[in-house]
Amino acid sequence: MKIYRPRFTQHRQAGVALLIAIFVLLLVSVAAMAMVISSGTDAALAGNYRASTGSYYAAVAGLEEVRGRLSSKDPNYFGAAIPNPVPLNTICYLTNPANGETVDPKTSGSTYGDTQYAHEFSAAPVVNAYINSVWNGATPGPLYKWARVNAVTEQSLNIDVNQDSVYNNTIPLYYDGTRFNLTNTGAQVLEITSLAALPGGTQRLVQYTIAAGLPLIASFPSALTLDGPTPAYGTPHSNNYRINGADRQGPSGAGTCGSALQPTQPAIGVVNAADGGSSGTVAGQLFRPDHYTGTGSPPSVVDVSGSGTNTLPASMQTVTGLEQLAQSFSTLPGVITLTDASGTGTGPCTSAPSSWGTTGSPVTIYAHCALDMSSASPGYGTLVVTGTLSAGGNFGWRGIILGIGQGAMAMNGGGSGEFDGAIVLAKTRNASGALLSTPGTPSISWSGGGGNGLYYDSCWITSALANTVSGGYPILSFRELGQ
Amino acid sequence: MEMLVAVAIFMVIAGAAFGLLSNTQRRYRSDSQILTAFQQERLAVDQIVRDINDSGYPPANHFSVATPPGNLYAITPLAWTPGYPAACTIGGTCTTPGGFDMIIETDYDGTGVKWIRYQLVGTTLNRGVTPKVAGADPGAATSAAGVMVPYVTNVVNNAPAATINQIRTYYPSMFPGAVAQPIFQYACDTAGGPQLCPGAGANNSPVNVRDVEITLIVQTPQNDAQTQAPHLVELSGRGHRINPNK
Repeated sequence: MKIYRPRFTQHRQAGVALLIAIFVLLLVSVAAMAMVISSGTDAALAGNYRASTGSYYAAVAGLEEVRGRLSSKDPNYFGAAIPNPVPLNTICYLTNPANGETVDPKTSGSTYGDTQYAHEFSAAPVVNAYINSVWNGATPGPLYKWARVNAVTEQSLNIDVNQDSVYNNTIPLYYDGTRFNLTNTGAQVLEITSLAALPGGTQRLVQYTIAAGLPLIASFPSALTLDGPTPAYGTPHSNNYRINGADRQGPSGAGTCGSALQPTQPAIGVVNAADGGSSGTVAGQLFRPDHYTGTGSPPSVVDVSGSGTNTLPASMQTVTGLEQLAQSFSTLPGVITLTDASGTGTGPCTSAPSSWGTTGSPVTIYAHCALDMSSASPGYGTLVVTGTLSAGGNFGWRGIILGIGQGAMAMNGGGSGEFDGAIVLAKTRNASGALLSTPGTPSISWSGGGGNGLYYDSCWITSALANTVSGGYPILSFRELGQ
Repeated sequence: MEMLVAVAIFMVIAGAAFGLLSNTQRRYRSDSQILTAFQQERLAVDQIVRDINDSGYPPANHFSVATPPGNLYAITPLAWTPGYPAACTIGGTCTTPGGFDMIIETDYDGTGVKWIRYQLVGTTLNRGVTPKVAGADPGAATSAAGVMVPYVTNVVNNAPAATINQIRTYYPSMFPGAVAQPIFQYACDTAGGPQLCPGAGANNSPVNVRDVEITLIVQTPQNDAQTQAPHLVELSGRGHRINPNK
């Protein structure tokens, strides 16, 4: 009998452990991979979120660098590198390559080529030499690649600015402080476009329109503007007291500031028809009506609330607009700020201004209080007062005075001083300092008058307003562009 | 005998491995839901922030005429209802903008000014875009059929009190005061800088909104498999209006 032994039993079992080990390893690997994939997705999502936000701020950084360096006060001012005004179809690039990187936006097809310009303009541009960013590839900075500066037209913005149904592409747009125009009025509108690109590939393209800052007030419609209904005019009785709307052009006569003589204005401007004219509310309160000269026959009291030239801007006929204007002065660089103890802006100022200014160095004073200007003999520049403005003795002012708040002046005498420039009085708050819904009654109380008076003077107005340019290049609009 | 031992050991190891895998799968499913919610929210917050940043384009200053046709420019970065364009107060007479409803006015693609509305209905945040129509009410225009579409689901910012209380048992720091958490909170420009609009006095108006704080809370469909705690994802963002409001 032949006995068969399982000669190969050990050989059959050999390798089973290996198979089991491989199988278990496979299972563990699958589990591990699942966890890795899960955490990987998590990390990717967080990364995307960071990239999205980071690219936005990087692009805005490009806009802000250009906006800052356009200002002559910036230590890295562009100067002549960007012409003023910027001709149409001329573009300037600020480039910001990373270390060793080439950024060549004017070359289409390059890594960061500017394809956006062609969407706005049909003509090929003249490209000025590239300007380096302040980071200049050496210092790690924001990750924008380039920023472009150019003039704009109706067609490039795709906006029919003057609503004539024509999208003009040959006239650069300007900004008059309130609105765009095609008449070269004010400052040129510039467009800044900035491209940011992060290492992961996220890109963002954003755009500003900006214009150089303009004075906070473009012009004054009269020597004295009583900006509210039924003004109370406590008339001076001095024979020497006058208000004259003819442009005085400085104490030495016409042409002293090198600008053209301005058209004669009304002596007193009002904002209601019933308050103007020789039989109006104000004229009825004047002691010597013939001493109020300007446009029209004396007394020159004219309604300046309408539209067109020589009128008070609509924004200066509302409480909101007037308050915003007064607030704008309070934030100007170098402004001298005075306050009262209560904080309401109606009590006496707790201190006197550090300076009333000089001919060559006019000041801007924002008095959130009732101010006594007796020691201004005279003062120079811009004076904004929220409380009652008072004075006695030998006082005067050369520049502009805005009484916005109580809209009140209480003067005593006047000596030999005088006011040269323009004054606006508007009552926007009640006696407690609370806002009114509409402008209230402005008031002047003037005992005597001395040799004082008010003379419209474009030189002193210009001198004062030069200090009120809001500085830099205000943003007129912002948008993000698709790519 | 050796084979039996090997099989037994294999069964034990395989059982342990499958147990681990099953646990991992449950965890993966749960995490996937969190990731989906996170993804939805991230996209939504990102889009809302972009829309707010772009709001108010083009402003009225882009026209030389005093009163251009109302549909050509953004009267204000945020539109409102009722009474548009006569102003209302946020937290007062405005129905929109509110904590769960906001309408943005902008031209984001150069094809004309549009109203973009975000509105929470139940637990769904809807988004709708419609061209601005001069003289029309933004609320009514965006409420027309087909305009609003679901954007983010399972939003629990305005959940019932019982749900909020249940969530707070697991996450006491959420829903401060055990009240609904507004998706949108508005800061208005004032002389002293931006302040929450309801405290901004005379400046409380949609016209003066400068910043919008966004808080979006989304709950996943399934609770935690082990603890039964609800899974919530809360994301915040801030939109900053740059365009002027005039």
